[in-house]
Amino acid sequence: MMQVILFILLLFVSLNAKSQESCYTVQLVSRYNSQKNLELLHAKGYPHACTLMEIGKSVTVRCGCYDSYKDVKKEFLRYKQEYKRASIATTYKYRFENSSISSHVLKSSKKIQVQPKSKQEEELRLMLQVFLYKGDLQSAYKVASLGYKRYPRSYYWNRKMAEICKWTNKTARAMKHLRFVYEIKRDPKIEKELIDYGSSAFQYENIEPLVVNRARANPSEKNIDLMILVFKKIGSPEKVVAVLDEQYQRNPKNTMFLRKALELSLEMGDLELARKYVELLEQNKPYTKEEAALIARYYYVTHKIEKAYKSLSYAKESSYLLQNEDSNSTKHTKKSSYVKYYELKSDLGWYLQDNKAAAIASKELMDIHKARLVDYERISFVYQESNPSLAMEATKEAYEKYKLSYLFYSYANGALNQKNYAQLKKILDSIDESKSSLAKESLYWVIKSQVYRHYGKHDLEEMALEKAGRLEPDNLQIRVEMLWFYMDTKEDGKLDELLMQMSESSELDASAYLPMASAYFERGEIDRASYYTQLLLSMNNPSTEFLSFKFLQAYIYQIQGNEGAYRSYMQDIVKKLKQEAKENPQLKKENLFLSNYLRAAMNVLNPDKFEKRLKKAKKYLSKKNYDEIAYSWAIKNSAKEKSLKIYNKMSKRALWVEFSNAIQFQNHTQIENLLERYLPSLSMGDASQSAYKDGQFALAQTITFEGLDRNGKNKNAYVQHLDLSKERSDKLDVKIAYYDREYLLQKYIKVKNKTYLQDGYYLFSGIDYYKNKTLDTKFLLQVPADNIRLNLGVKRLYSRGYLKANAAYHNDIKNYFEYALGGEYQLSTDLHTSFNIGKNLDSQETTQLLIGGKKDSGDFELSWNILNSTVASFFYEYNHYFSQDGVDLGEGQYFRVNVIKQIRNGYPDLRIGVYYDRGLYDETEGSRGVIDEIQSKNYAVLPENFYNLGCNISYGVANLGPYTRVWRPYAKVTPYYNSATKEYTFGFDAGYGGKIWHQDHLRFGALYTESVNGTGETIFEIYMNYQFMYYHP
Amino acid sequence: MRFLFTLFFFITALFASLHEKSAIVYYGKNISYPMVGIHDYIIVQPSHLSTYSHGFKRYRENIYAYVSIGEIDKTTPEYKEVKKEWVLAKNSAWNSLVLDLKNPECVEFLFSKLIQVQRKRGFKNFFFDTLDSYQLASKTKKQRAENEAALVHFIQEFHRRYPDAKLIINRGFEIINKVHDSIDAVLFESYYRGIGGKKLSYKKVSDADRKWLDIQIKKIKSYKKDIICVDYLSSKKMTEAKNLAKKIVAKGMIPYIANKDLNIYGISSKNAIKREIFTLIDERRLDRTLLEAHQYGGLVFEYMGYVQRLYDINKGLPDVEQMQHYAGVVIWLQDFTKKPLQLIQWVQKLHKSGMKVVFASNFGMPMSDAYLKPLGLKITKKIKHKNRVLAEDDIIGYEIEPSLSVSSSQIEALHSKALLTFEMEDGSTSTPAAYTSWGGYAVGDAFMIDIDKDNIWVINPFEFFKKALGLKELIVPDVTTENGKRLLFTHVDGDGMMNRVEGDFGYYSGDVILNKILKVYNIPHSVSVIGAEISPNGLYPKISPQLMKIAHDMYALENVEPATHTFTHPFFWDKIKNDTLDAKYRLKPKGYKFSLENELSGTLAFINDKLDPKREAREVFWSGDCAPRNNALEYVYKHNILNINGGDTTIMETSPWLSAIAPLGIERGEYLQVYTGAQNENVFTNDWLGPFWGFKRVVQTFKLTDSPRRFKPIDIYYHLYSGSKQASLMALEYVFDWAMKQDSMPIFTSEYIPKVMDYYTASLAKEGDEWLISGLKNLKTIRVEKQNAGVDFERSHTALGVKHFQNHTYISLLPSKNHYLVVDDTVDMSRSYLISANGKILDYVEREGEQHYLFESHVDLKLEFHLAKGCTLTSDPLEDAREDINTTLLLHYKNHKEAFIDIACE
Repeated sequence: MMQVILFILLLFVSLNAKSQESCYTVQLVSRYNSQKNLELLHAKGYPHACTLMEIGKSVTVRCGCYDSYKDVKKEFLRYKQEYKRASIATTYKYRFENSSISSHVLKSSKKIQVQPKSKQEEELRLMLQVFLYKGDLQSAYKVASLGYKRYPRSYYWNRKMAEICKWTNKTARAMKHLRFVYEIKRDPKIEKELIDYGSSAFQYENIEPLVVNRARANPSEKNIDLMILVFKKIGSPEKVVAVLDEQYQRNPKNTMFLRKALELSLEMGDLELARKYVELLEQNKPYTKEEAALIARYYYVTHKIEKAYKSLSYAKESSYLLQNEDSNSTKHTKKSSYVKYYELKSDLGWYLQDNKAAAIASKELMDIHKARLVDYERISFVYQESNPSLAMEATKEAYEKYKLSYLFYSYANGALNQKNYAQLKKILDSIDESKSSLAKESLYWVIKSQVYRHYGKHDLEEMALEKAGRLEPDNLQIRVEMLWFYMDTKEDGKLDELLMQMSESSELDASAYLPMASAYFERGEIDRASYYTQLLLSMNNPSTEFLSFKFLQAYIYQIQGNEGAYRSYMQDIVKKLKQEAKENPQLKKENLFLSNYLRAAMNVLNPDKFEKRLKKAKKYLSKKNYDEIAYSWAIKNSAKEKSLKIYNKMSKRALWVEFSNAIQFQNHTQIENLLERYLPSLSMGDASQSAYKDGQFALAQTITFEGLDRNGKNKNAYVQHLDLSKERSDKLDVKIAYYDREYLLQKYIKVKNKTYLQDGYYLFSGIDYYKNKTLDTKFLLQVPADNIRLNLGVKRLYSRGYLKANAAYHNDIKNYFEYALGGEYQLSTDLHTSFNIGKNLDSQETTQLLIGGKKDSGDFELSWNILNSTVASFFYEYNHYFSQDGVDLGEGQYFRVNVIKQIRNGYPDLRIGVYYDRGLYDETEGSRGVIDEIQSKNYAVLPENFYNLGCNISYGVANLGPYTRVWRPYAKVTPYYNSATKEYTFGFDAGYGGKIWHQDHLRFGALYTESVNGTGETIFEIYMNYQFMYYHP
Repeated sequence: MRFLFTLFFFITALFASLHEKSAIVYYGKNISYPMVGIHDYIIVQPSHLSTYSHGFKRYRENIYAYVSIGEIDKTTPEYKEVKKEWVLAKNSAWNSLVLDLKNPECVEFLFSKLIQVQRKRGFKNFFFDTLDSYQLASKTKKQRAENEAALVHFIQEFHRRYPDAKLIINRGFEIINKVHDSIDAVLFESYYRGIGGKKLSYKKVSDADRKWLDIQIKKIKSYKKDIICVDYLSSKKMTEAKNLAKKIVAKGMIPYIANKDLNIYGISSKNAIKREIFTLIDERRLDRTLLEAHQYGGLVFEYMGYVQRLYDINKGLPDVEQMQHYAGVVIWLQDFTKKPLQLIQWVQKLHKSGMKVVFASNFGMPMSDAYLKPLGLKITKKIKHKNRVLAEDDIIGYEIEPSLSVSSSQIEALHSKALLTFEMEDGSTSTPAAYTSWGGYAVGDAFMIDIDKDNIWVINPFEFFKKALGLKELIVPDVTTENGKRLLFTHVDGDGMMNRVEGDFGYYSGDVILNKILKVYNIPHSVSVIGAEISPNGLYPKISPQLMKIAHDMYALENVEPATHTFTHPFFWDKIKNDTLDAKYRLKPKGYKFSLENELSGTLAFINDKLDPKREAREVFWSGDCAPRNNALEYVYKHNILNINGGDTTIMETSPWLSAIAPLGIERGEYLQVYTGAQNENVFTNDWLGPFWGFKRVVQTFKLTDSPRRFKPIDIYYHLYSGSKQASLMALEYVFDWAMKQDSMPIFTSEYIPKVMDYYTASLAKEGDEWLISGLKNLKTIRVEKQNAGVDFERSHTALGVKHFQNHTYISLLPSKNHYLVVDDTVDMSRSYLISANGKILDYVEREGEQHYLFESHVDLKLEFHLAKGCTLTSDPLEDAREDINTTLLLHYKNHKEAFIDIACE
């Protein structure tokens, strides 16, 4: 009943209205005004000309606004075909005033008060205008309130109230009037005003239905976002999901609703809801990047990582990537909206080992300045080799953004590797060291030192390194840097000190071994260098694959005399470099690569081939490198002239070049200079040779001695030193023996000393003490219980030989003095001679002479190095024998021819020789002086004439003297035919010797000889011999 | 006879239990309350501990301060005040002077300088040492008698001055007849094993000496006094200590065996379970609050009943001998140590001493054979890709599977049980996690994985740490639950009370919180204010009256307790130096002089004096970075101010990671900062940038910290500015609506804080199937990690109820100093017991089969009982609704917060 009354009322009003602002319309449908019906009608969709409107308690769809009934009738018939309940109605024109209204779904509508203005109202309006004109808002508000009170449904008064309330910050009231005004007019401008003002005045609940209606009617992204925003401001994001869902149902092709719903679900943490939208979105592949990111996020938080990552791969390529005309900034703006996508792509890709894809995603983020710390790290890692500039750029940007020290170091290392010193310097200069924590870190100073090094500021470099060292005294890397620095600046003292500290450090690890080995090598301490390289080799340390290691190891082997290993390493280097060149042909044009290759190849390639390569490489090599390689090659091939030519062309010469040249051309002044100034930096062998040739024997010996101490495996040095030592060293030699010669037993001790005086002069001294005993009185009646010999002599060394003279005092059966003079001379490279003359010398040809005799003697020897390994020698000796009390016993001559071949050099050395010797004696008849008193019968004192023909084999004789270092056996065996006894007989001398603590030697041995020369006596001796070489101040 | 003795010894040993009295004498620094708490006598060097700490206050009744009354050592600060005429003799063995107690001035010196000082500090009880020193100076009988009389007088004077104080004396056998009424126990040293000689080396006590001691012991026993017998063993021989203790117990004495320096935790008749995990960290770069070891490790240990003790490696590695009270050692260094070899040697020493060590996250040093080889780890350094997971233990893939990302070094673990092994691209393998003979390690991606800002556990940390460190399964003092209900509290930081309400500019945010939250949700609320925001001397003097009125109205409510959020809201607590803070690090009211006193006590006084609260203000809710340093913490402990805030618990459905749950708190020295149960709306709204409804998501946090493990109570933590926005207010209402529906026990924040403090200092022991828990005053729940465990009520007198929740069993306790518990596998249904109550138990009496309870709550009571057959329950007042489901009885009350319950059984 009520409905009918209302309808009549409405009809009355409508008809009344028509006379002024009404029209005819076709009403398609009309229902009770409820939200459900409203939505239902809205959802159905109607022709474009139709408008869904709320009128009072009804909601209706009306089409067209016609002034004549005829026109409406025509339309009515057309609509009637489709809409059975269509009817003709009258309505206000304003309802159709704006076509956009027709597209809105309106929740409620109010009837406007349409009355002619009364005089009273006119007066009020006028009053209001006056106050407003004057700006008297308070009075204006009072008047407007009065007007509103009288005409509450008046559009005018509601509008004015809204305006004045807005101006006076009466927000809630302003909203009320604005809302009324809007409901009368349905003007989109008013709607916008309402929403804008509602938002700014925090009246979200008031504008909620408006934004929902707007979004429903026109679900553009803008309107949807506005709706979401309002719901969020209200604090009920969950409510908006339902609206989005509804919109999706209406337009299933528009995944925007799903995306927004999923975004909200995830934001709210409602994973059930999120799942629903993920499943719906998954039916619409490929996704946009935003959608993909949301889906991936859902799977990620539900622990399905692989699925999450896969979801990202279904993302569409963005069109902006193809639009070249886009400006960079536009691209960036567009890309920014995909930040989440790239972040996830990078994170999950990294997790799943798709590192490259992860780095590409990170790069995208970096391009739009959205990179996170991990993005920079990933770019840096992945592009380290393939695009080092990018990697470096990433770390640089990361450091500038995060100021984390490790990023700085990462960047700095990259910059150093790429030799990008200028950029690095720029960053370093920008750091305020008084404030930056970097300046408190040692590594910072290390980096700084390297930059200083590049710019040649060595004082600053040293300062920076020292600062680093002070900050972290135990830091290995700093120490390594300091090593390089001291090597470069030739600060040998500091280098030695540092090396010692490092080698004793408990923190030392393999990372320092290679630099230490290099430093030791630099200092000529080859043993120490070798120790560290061998350690690395035994550990199979990756650094053993470095070229620098291989070169170092090769040179160590070379110096140690291990030519085979040296060549093998060089071959290995050549092979490695060839392979590298094969993989990257560009290398063949690079200075460093070619330089390394040629240095190694000169040891491996045949000369013609090498020269060809050298010539080809010339244009790519730096002049310095080319000259040095060419010079080395010339020296290697003994091309003196050529080497000189190159030498002269060199603008700046390395020390080794200078030294090598001086040696080549025997430039003694230059040699002296270099030795004095750069001795520790020169090649030990060359330096020693040079010093020797220069007449600086002591220096030569010192060099070899120290060199050997550092490079024990250097055989050349060893031999050189051995020779020098034997010849020149200060030496103490003590021998204790048990000597059995048929009828005589001697126990003796011999102490000898050799001391260098100066200018090539040596002083000899010695004391021999013998205790004697006769073993068979049938032959030897008596022997002196003991006897002593005291000796003093001088030796002068010359460049090609020496001269020596000595005198000795004998306290024997008789006391007497001995005098002797001797010398040696190198006639030529292969020919060598020596001589000795002496008076009252010991004579050992027979037992009687040994006890009671002496001789005046002269000898001469000539030896010829037929080959490097073979020596032939001739020895002649003339003797005149006396008893100790001066009775002439006769004369004798002795000569020997010997040919010896060295089968093997180095322990176990082996020599085989053949010899022939002959003794011819002529004994004087008569008294034999004191000898008569010691022998039981009148036996002959001189030997019989004899000759021996035999061979000698010696093994390990290097172990007879100092610097054999390890304990080893030695032996000499001499089988021979003796003409005196007419027997094949033999002699041997064998023992065991080695060093005890340093430059000394101890050996135990025994010797045995049958058929001594022309006597047929046997000798057996057991001995212990200690030799000690020493320095004296 | 020998047989009888053996039998006696055996029986005594068998019955030696947690009910025996025990003692500890600890003169070291950094006292461990979990190690000393169970003892009846705790003798300490007073200068070595803080009397402000919770542990001290909790165990104060049993703590005895060492005072030497017969001699004064040269190292004592008061030594220089000693006058010549007070000195009787020199004791050259100890480099000290023997004091003349006959001299009244000397006596006054001892009381004023050594005893009264410690009384003032908080010590109540004392241990008098060097009682016999006078003998060094007593040459005649007369002198002896005079000196003994002086000693007796001293002890009597002590009691006259401090009638409440308890006293233990060291020996004093000669005067025992005269002072036995004044002492609680007598301590003597060296019964079986002692020290002697110039070097004070360890020695066996001779039979003759022991016989003499037996005569003295007999005399003390006749006075029924406890006798504490201290024997000494070197640390290396401490394995013999247990047997020695048994022998002493058999003699009827309280044993204590330790090293001669008494700086380790020795053996007594009952001994505490080691529940502290030593965690080595590096604080060079980051404060401990920001370190992963704390953020991710603390919670894991706490859930298992252990306490993480953080130790900064930069202080130098501690002596292994003094670490034996730790249950294990975790090395969790985010930066490489500068002394790796030293660290490895230390680990080897720990291993040798029997302690297990875990390397967590990384080795704290570059991975290198040179360092790790001694631990049986072989390292190969080369960048390689991983092919696949070759083998993994069940504990791997806890929250995420291990990543196959590149690796720069491979680990081969010899003699170990691999937990995760990768096959590398070249076929070689790498084991980044394993149990080893010395403990275990889990490093790199085998430990945790970082994806963006998420830190995700690869390894199950509970299982890993438990097995690698060989941790015992403990019953756990639980701070999340009381009387079977999850605790619910809410606390508000006072920021922004003066913020205008959006859309309604006439109102302040504080008004909204008052009217729409505090008055609407009738549960306890703890609300703080910032002094400078509301005070007339603050930043807004013009609106101060309105703001003061709001605060006043809030605090006038029955369900609101006040707290301070400081006066000027310090932003960075580490910037407070010398009791001052630069103005740029705080609010800047005119004319204000910063001091901790003004910030803390001053603001509390302001609240109590000016805002007339119903309840006393005694809490601080930390401001700014919520990372107070020792100075601020010491201040609050010194002034008995409770503290809370900090800790980033933000776990949500969209970040469902364990690492997003913070530990219960963080210790600095002896002081604890208590963390919140969940983060506040500022965090959930992206630092108040929006979305402002974001705090709704804290409900997810509450759910995820409840199940599958209940890590936290419900703590609705927000700021007053939440009232200023429609969305944030709606979020708050949503959260409160949800919370009100939960089965919880609402409490004030001030009731929660001491529970956490109790957790850190609780002391546990176990003998057979019986547990002893000491130090629980406010914490009243024990959790057993079993689904349907029960408790033997006959033997567990302080246990009142059992509540099962998911896989856990919560045992409710009565307030008591000590709890003796026997946990069963099932519940005894033949007995009535409390299942849950949303209020506290104020009183409980059990006699002749009857149980009488008195409950009190902050909200309408809800009680739940298991009512055994034949039992009846009556309530006064009568409940408004009663639900009887099988044997479970639910009682609902309206407008009643207090009820007497009587259960009577046939």
